[in-house]
Amino acid sequence: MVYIIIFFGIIFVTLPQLKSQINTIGISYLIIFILSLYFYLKKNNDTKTTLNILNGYEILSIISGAMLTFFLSRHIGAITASGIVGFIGYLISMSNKKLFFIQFSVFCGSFVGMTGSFYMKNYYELVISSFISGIIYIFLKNHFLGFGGKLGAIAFSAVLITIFLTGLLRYVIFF
Amino acid sequence: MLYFFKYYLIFSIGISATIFFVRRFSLGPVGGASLTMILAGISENYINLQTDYANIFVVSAFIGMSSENIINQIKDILLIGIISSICYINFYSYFKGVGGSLGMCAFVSVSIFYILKNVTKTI
Repeated sequence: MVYIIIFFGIIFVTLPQLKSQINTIGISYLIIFILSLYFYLKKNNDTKTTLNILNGYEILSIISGAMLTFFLSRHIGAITASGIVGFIGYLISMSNKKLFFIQFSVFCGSFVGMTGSFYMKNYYELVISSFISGIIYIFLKNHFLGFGGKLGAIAFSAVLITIFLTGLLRYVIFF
Repeated sequence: MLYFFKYYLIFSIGISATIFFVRRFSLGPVGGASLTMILAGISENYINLQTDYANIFVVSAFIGMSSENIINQIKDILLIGIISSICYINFYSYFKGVGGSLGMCAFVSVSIFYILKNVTKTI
């Protein structure tokens, strides 16, 4: 795990120095992120992720968190919107012990919803992004336990994948 | 250089506030971090706090979500404040508007801090 973290650190410090366009940084970051994730998961078999019906609820709560934040951020600002949605998720999870998992997935979704309208043009892109974020979340939730910012990193990766895919789609349609 | 010290100060205050909410009020990581974010958002909208400073509060809220085996002393907060200030200055302006970029910034800061802590332990 230490190697993957060192890798993250090196990318993080060196890539922005290149002063290139966001796509170059985003795509190269993404490739390295996926590769390092693959090696990390291959190496650590101690916490296997088992797929069950709960994962469906997690994806749905990420999508709802993202949509609610995206809607609210146009009226009250992205930071307040994400905070309010996260707190709502926390209150829901406190109301019933069976719903404890909701707070993390809703909070993760709220980060996806913080994306500016420059990158996310409509709700379709937002749903795709949240869905990708849900898949990454399911496979990463048992890893990096106790690391602050893990949910944000998941959302960031999902948003970059969506920006890359939509950019590619526009490029194909245009030519 | 002055900016760096300002950022460092705000990071330290933000992380301490979040850890206070999370551990003293027993709000849990999500409750504590979202409360800090709401406060930062309200300050940005109504007290005209600079957006940059509000973003720093958000990053520090994410860092404050870390568990006790990662951040448990004041010196940890002070060290992670320096790391996160460097990361924020180098990284954020290139990913402005991309959702989760602040979380990514926090995640990498915590990761670098985790390595440093382990390396110093082994030495």
